[in-house]
Order: sequence, then structure tokens, then C-alpha cells
Amino acid sequence: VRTPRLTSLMSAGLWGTVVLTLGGVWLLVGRVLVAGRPAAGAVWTAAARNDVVVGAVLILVGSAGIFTQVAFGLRDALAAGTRRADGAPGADPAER
Amino acid sequence: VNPTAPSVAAGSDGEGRCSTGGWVRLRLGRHLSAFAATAVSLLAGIWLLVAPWVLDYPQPSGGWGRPTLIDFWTGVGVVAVSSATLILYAATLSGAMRRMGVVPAQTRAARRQHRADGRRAGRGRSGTPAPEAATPSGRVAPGAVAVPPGAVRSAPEPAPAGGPPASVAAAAPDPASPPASVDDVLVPLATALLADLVRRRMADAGDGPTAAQGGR
Repeated sequence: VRTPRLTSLMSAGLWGTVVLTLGGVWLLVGRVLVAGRPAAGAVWTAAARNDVVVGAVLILVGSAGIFTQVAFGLRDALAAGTRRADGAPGADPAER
Repeated sequence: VNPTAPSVAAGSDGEGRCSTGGWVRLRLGRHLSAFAATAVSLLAGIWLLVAPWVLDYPQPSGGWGRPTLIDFWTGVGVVAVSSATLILYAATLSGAMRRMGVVPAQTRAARRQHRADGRRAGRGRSGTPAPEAATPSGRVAPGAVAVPPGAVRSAPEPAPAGGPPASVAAAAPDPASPPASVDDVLVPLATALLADLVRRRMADAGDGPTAAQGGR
């Protein structure tokens, strides 16, 4: 069984998903750095609440996307390696 | 319908036999999850663009407030990145399908030729019919009455009693031959049926089949 190649796991679109996840981190954390930290005990404004919620959604969705991409890529690469090792006729051409 | 495209009979697990031989695995789970994650991100970006006005962020007079600026420009970035990511995932999916043989691989020259054919066909429809309006594949320009040579030759043959007309039998595709496009099958068949109908009407009216052959 060959070691799966990194290129089969890291498609070009995956980098975009990583950037989107970082965008969520920016909304959660970076906003405080730019807009200033709210005073302790102060009521959250609509903008702050919205940024936290959207940032969390972006982080969750982006992380799930990265996880599934890497997991599916690993599964397919391992399956292709196993088929090649078994010498199965007509091995999956998509894995080449 | 492309006759050169191999068909894939995919099962519920996304695995199937390709007509060119060999097994192919449609990795739809991977692509669908990527598309779903990116689509949600795109929606989040659009929401960030409009949120300052929907949620009525406080705006100082004569400009945007800092929360508005942050959300708007972050939304622009998220929309741009997620759109580019969607395009990249679509390119990855189409490339995988091309490698599997589900989609025929088209060279750049073939794409250029296809576009040129489309432009020529468009000109033929909009203006004077071009000489090549009736193409070898059997396509006929609208308004023109054309019969493929094979159908004309087979039209006047007498039909055997009890069987299908000879012209229809001649136009029927050979089951052993590779599958043709829908146009290649239906146009000669419809033309042969039409010629046969005309021949019978002419025969009923007292004219011979030679009149039908000449009077298409």
C-alpha cells in the first residue's frame, strides 16, 4: 500500500475553505482588536452578536468542510492503493 | 447525447461499471460536502454584506461606522473567496469526471471547433440559410425541406406484406453499431416515414412511386 500523495488530499478548493475558516476566526477575534473590546458588563450590540454568530458558523462549516475533504481524500487514496496492491483489473482510473 | 461518451451505471454507493470497461467510483460525497460548506459560507458572506442595514447598525453622520465597515468588507472577502472556491471545486469535479471517462475529454482545438460550429449555425438561423445549413449529421435549417440521400434511395422500395415499410427498416439503426446521437437516429427515421407517407398518398391518388421520388 502506497502512502497517499498530499496532492490527492489537498485539492485547490480546500485552500479556499481554509481561508473561509480564517475569515470566521477574524470575525470572532480580530474584530475585537480593530473595533475595541466592549466594556465589562456592557450589553452586546447587534453588530457584536452578529459577528460572533457568523464567525462561529464560518469556523464550524469550514472545519467540517476541511475534515470531510481530508477524510474522503484519505479513504479514496487508501482504497486506490489497496486496489493497486491487489492488482485488481481495471483499477479506478480516477485515482491515477 | 454524445455517442463517444461512455455511460456509467452508478449504484447507490456511487460505484459502477463504465462502458469503456473498468470500475469507476463517483466520489460525490467528497464533492457534495465541499459544495455544501462553500455554499453556506457564500450565504454567510451575503448576510454580512447586508447585515449592517438589516440589523440597523448605528451609523455616524456622514459615513459608515466601524462595525459596518468591518462587516461589509469581511462580507466582500467571504463572498469572493467562497465564489472562487466553488469554481475550484467545480473544476476539480469536472476534471475527475473527465479522467473517469464520464465526460468526454475535449481538446482546446475541439472546443474551438465546437464554438465555431455554433456560431455558424446561429448565422444560418438568423439570416439567409448558409449552404452548409444541412450538415452531414442530418441537421436541417428551419424552413428547409431536405431528405437525407439514404432515405430518398430507400423510399420507393415496395414494402413487404405484413412487415414494416422498407424505408423504415432501412432507416432503423443497426443494433450492433455503436449508439448514435438522438438527431442521427431520429432525423433519418422521421424523414423516411414522411417519404413513405407521401409515396402512399401519391399511390392512392393514382400516381406511381416515381412521382413521389421526384416530388419531395
